[in-house]
Amino acid sequence: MFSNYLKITLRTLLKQRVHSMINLLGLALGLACTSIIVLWIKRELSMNQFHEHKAELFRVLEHQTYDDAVFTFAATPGPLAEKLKADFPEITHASRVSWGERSLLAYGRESFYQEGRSVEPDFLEMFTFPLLQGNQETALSNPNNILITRELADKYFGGEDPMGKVMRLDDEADYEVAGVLADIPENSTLKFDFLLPLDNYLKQDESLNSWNNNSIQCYFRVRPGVEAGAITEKIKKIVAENGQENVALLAHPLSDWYLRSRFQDGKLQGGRIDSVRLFGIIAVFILLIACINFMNLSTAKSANRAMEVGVRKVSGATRGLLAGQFLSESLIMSALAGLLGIALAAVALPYFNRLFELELAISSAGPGFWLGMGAAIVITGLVAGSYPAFFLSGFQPVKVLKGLVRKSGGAVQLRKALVTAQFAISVLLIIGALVIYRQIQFIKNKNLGYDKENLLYVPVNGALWDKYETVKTELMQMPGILSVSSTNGQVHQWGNNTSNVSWEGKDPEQAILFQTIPVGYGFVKTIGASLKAGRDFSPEFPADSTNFLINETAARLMGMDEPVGQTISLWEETGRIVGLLRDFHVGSFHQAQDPVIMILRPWKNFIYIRLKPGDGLSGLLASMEMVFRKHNPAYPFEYHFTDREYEELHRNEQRTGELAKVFAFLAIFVSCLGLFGLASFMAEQRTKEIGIRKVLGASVGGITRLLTMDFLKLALIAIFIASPLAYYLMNKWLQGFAFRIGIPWWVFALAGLITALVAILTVGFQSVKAALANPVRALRSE
Amino acid sequence: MIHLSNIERFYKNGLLKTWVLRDINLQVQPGEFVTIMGPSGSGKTTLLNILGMLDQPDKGEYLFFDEAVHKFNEKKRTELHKHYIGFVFQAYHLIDELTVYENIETPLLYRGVKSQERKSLVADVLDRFNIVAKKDLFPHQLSGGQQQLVGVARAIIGKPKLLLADEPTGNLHTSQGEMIMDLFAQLHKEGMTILQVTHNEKNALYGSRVIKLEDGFVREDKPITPDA
Repeated sequence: MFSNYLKITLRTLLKQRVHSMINLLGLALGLACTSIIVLWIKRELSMNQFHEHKAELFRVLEHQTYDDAVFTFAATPGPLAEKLKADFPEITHASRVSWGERSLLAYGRESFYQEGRSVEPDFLEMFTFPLLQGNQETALSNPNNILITRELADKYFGGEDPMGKVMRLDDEADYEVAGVLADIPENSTLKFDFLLPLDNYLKQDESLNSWNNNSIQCYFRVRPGVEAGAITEKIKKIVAENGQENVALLAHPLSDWYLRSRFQDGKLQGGRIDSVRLFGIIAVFILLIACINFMNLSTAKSANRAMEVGVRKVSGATRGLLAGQFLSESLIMSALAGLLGIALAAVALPYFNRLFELELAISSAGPGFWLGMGAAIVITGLVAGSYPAFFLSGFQPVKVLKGLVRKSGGAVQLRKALVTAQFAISVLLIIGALVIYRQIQFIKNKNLGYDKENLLYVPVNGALWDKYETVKTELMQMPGILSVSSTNGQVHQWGNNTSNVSWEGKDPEQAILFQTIPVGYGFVKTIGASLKAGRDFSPEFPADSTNFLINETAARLMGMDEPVGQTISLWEETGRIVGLLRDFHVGSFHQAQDPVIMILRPWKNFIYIRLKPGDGLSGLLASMEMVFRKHNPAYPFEYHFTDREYEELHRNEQRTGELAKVFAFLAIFVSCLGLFGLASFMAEQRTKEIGIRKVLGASVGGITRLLTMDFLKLALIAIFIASPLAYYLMNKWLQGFAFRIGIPWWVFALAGLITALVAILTVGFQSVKAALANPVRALRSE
Repeated sequence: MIHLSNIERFYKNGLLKTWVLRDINLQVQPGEFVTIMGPSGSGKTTLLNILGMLDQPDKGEYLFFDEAVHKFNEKKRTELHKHYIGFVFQAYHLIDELTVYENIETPLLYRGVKSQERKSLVADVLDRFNIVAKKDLFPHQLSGGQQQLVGVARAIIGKPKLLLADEPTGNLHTSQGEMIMDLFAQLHKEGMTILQVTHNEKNALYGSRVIKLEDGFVREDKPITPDA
């Protein structure tokens, strides 16, 4: 029986080539999208899952409450880890973990920048980062040990045994290799090339001994079976009890680190999981569109198969058997489409990988993927085949054999509803793509309040600390350099704040978080910020070492109309405000405008350099390199362009935008495939009507309009259905940005226009063809 | 074998009732070859469809081998029809996507006949109808007469008790029509009960009895004498 179905399916496929191609291609595209998205979702869900004790691992987050908002940080006070382990029997291990520092690691003549983390001995017992060589118990017990990954071992030592070798860090301290770690899995959020014992890190930073300073991460492991909620409840108040009253702790479980880590006002707002869901839904949408094509074309073509149904029924087929036949047909189709789709996916994956900087591959997908795809194929087959099976198998043989099947109003209505649904999904995706594109353009082009173009920064390391002034003088002599200054963070992602600010008339209960930016002379000019009133710090005013610059937001929050000349204090040190800056951005567009206080300090982690716009950049960079190498020979010259780094901050949105574009296009394309098939069928079916109309004097234009309007009406309905939905969804997406565009009416109009245009083009071709046909022939065939 | 009493079939069009069959009383014995004749719209095909259980009467009783067909549900009717009735159509109604062999095989598939048995049954029929050489061709590669031959082969492959034919020669040339009618006569001789609908007086002569319908009523019902 099944072989009979298979035969029929294949012969039908070959007989109706266009129709089959549309069906197959549509389904294959849908399944190709699905398979890429399934691969990607699988990867996203696998993040951090390789840890043996994954259910028992937590990271400590702090909710810090201020007047206007609750901010959430992963930074915690230094003494926390030890306290957790000592006071709570359910916490078996705890380790402070540094943020990941880039350092110059050298062995012999090999010298590279590598990322390291300083951790405590418990670290190796908490996380599954196995040692290939070395003793786990003692590897981190000596402050001058270093553990390197196998990749690093190969890079520095080639075939040699790295154990016991001495490596030099940042040209100032020697470390002995005490272990080789297996390479860090790609799906780990904790990334590093080497590990150091925390001891030396602690020595560098006094504040790590204080409960009043949040500057290191804390991870811990609990006994099996302890719930996140329960442990959060217990540890919640520790930091508050030790001095920082506005802090509540949260035990953030491992499974949430990657997927659910965006907090707003102290509440979990999602995170990557939103993208996972979004693209999951999009995959289902596209698959649905393809299924709709299948259903539409099958029911539309049903007249051609009605006779077969009749004959089979007369030959003794029951409705069940016939439904089975049509379902197996669609299953065979979806299986074929699945194979084609997976092949398409394999071709498209390199592009996807490049876009997302991933390494997805079908060959290494594992049984989960094949199971998922199998399920998708079967479900697609069943969904796509359900209506034809139900519809066709219900034909009454007496009627179909007499040729009375065409006037099936129900099927026509359903077909219209399905086409409308397709259009609606397409409109939704187009609007989404347009809004995302506009928001990204807005971010790119928005005036940040400082000039990120031609602004270069160089991380300070080694001898540069002491030779800054010399370097600055030499740089300033180059014709391509306008100004040079220093600060201790990156302007495009500032992250150093305090609420320890007071001013006259401040409500003692009030807590506002100010961004504090320690700068050198000429900083305002260098980054291209502008002063609204007052002046920049200047060597002519020795008192400036205790004076401040503030921005407009800070002035507003402090309730000052004329801030210049007023006295405020920061970190209990009092000084005068000498300048008022226009607001400028110190973070990504997800963050709101922060109040900023600038102070004059020689804390220079970064040298900022303003270049003269124009060419000669490579020559300029070469001469700058010479200056830096001369004064800091142990380090390679490293520089970053602020505009590029800023774009990197919004990379995720940019990718979402790219993908939305691709998917919107695919959705429309697949819809068009179906529309094309449906239109050609409709034209074919109305041959007689068209013939009669032409004989009665209808023009080609009139007939084309007649046929096209049918579909255009559906497109219009779809636009009206999809627009409010799109508005709601995109507004929600935009809420994630502190600075965002509105959604103008013309976005909807444009999306509608695109959809309508595509529909007209697709259907119009068929309509014109039908309208041009010779009516005599059409009428004779009846 | 067939017993119809007071069969009525009508269509309602608003308040208007259009009668297709009225007060049909009919008995058919096993082994008869009955021809139903009458002008267009006289209800011949409807009667045939009711007999073939493809359509139901609005009133009256239909006994088939003493079973009350009019009381059956669709499933049971299908079951009955699957085992006892073969159909031949004017337009042949072969499945375009299937070969001659597969077309003939189809009813057996639905009866759940085993593969080996199917093969031998189909081979027998092909042999008997002299179309072995055509078994792998598709319907559109055959002449009308050959297609109808396949149609008949398909109708009788399941050894039905009753063969229903709706204008079996309506689309054929005279000579091809004669070939089909000869075949019917042959089947009749072998004991098959046949009911055919036709316009063709000549074809009626192959049968053993003629029923004439007019406006839904039976106007005439008489046996055919070989010489008439």
